[in-house]
Amino acid sequence: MIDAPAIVFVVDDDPSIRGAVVRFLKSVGLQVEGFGSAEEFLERQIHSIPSCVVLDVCIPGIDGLEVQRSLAERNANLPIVFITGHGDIPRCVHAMKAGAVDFLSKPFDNQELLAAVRSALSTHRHALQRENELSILRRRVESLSPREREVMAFVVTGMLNKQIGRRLGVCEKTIKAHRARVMEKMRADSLADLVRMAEKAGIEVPKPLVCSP
Amino acid sequence: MLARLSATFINLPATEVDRHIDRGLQLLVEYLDIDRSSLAEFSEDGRQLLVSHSYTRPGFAPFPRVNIAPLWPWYTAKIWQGELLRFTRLPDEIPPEAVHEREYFGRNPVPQSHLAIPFKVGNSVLGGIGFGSFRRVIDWPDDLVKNLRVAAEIFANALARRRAEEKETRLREQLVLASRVSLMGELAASIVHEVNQPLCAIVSNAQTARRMLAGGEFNLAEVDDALGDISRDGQRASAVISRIRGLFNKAPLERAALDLNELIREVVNLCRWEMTRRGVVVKLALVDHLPSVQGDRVQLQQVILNLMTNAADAMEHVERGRRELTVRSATDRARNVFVSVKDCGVGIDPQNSEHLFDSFFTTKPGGMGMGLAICKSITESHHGTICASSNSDRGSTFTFILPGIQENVL
Repeated sequence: MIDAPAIVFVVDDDPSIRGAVVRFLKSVGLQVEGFGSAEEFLERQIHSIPSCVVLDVCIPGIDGLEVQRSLAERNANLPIVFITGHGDIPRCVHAMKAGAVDFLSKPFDNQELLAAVRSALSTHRHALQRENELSILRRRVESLSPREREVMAFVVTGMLNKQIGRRLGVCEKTIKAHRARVMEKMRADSLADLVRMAEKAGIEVPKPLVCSP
Repeated sequence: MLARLSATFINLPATEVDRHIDRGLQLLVEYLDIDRSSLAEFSEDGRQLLVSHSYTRPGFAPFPRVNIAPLWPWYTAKIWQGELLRFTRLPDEIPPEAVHEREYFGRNPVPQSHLAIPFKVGNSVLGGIGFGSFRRVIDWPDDLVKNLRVAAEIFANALARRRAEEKETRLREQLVLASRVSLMGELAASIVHEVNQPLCAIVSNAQTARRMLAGGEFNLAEVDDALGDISRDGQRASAVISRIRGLFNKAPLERAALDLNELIREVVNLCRWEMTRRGVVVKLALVDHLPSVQGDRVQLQQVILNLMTNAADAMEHVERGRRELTVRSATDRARNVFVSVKDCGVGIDPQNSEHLFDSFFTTKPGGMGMGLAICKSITESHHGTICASSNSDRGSTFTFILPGIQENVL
């Protein structure tokens, strides 16, 4: 899905501007869909394809900031490139703070628009990749048995097998076996690798005990 | 005879004054059995003395309708000073210092006797009336002169009244214009937006078309499409400018048969962006088959725009999603046309209801208080009325009513 061709959604109630933007983006080889209102756009299903939205801040009905919020709620964090008219600067700053990629004022230069769109698509692509990686990692963690998960948590703190064994009240050999299974299931190439995965997956690491003599 | 003259002029509307003065002069000429009578008025700066009315007995040389100040400077100066001039035997009695006058009467027919009576209103001399006799010598006895002075007064008063009315009309027109210009300010955001949109699309489409051509391999149909859109958008921008220019026009009053529904739609279109920006939702409830109204298009649009702007102002403190403005048109059996603008804003304070349409009455800080007064002035000049009421739920409704053009019943 991530490698599917990216798609740009253009939302503007003005048919002249919408037509021009759609035409331009298509002419550079992008997939483009145009919408005459934010409501129409929000009815469209968003899949995990790299995409972004080119949106006019001041269209009647639901405004651009609402769209941003609505998308965030649906977990479709599409980057938005805002186009603005005269006097919209305060709203744009607001939009920027809420996470818009960029804003361009009318009349905009096609090249600037393209740069903003490309940047937005790239951002989304990376975000999707990260999400994908994360869900893979999570699935792998879920495939571990409770014991294996426990062992993994200690392993990534750098404790030796012997220490782990003592901590869990299990012999070292068993720990070694668990460790091997963890490395296999997690498909980690090295301890460092495992540590990175644990971080990404947000695995809770046990606190070190006060050293006992 | 004086009584008759007086009665004629007493309540004469400004437009009738000229005709009656001409008639009055004729009456005097015939009554006095003289041959010519003319009325001349000073221009506002006092430099010109223009003959504006004259009656000449058929067969005699009419008095030229010119500025006599350069021709007869001595004479003009005397009139300006309010001095009565009595000549029994002309041209002998022309004083030596009146050089131009002597010269003039060397070349032109001169009456035997002439009487010039300046007429004043208050302390200023507005002009004078001259009486000339060719056929006989008249020595202008005192009681005759006294009566003619009274006649002159009557003319003077009528003229003064007319001048005042004309001035008032001019001022009112200037005010209407000034208010229109200030209303244009309200439209500024709309104008800018409506022109900027197509321009933005034009720039983008042009860049795209060039890009397509530069790429070498291009689809001619696509390039043609882009150019077609450019053309269309150029016309869109042009149309907006035309509409705005129409509103700025200082053309004198143009009366035509108007469809108020069309006027309403145009105004709504013009301020669409401004209303959107202010979060106001405009609803239209226009009735079909509205009778036409005789009127000035721009002035009536000015009224509609003013009422809509006021409505938007009244709703400033209403929650953004709920600012509703409704423009309605209606008619009745007498073919009157009703246009109303309804809002859901602050409404009308009963204390103010008497003064709403007064000049300089405003409830807005920084407001000039002329908007509604001008709306009233415009409506009334169209033989209509304007009124306001508070709605039963919230907000107010402003309505103006104009007489519709009656259908010709065959």
